Amino acid sequence: MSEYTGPLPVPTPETRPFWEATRRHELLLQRCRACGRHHFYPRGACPHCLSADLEWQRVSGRGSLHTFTVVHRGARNFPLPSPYVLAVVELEEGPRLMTNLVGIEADPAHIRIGMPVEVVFDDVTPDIALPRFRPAATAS
Amino acid sequence: MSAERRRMRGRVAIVGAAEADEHGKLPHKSAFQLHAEAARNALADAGLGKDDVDAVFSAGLWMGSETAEYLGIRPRYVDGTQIGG
Ligand SMILES: [Zn+2]
Repeated sequence: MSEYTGPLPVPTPETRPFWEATRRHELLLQRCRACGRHHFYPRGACPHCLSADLEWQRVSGRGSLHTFTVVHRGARNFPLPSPYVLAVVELEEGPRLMTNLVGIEADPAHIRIGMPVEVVFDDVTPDIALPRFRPAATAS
Repeated sequence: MSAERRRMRGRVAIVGAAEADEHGKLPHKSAFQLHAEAARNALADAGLGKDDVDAVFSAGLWMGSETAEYLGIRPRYVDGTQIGG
């Protein structure tokens, strides 16, 4: 692994379980016990009903591409060489997250909104693994 | 006095007030969590739900827009004040 020089997440009390899980290559979402809905990003109150009665649930990491853009001149230190794909993925459980689409040519001709995707984890440091998404191996 | 102020005069009231669940040094909680606790408690004090809220005012490091997003509120008006205390 080459030395990683890009930005890193700083886990907070709310996000630490999420980042500990990505390190194990697991994707976790919070689920509200009061209303049953999932949400992302991690927080201390359900954004659907404000309940603080939340639990962490491992999820499949499958979803679909909600939207994307191809970046040709990337931010300094961005961990992917340009061109790369900035994407918003909608998970099967409902929440959307901003991420990168990898494993596909960064060319709009090859990328379709709505295409099925699945999570992959990039171990950028011994402590941090970043979740990204690639085209799903088989349609889910 | 402007027409707008005349319309609001005598028609604006504090209907709920509250604090976060705990105070002091709280390394296990984020500032947003404390905002959420205070908001939940104030809504309970007022007997309102979060969907009744149409404006969010916040103080601290974040603008009201981030606080509203955290709370799952889509306000028609937000404001933020950068003061401590
Ligand atoms: Zn809920």
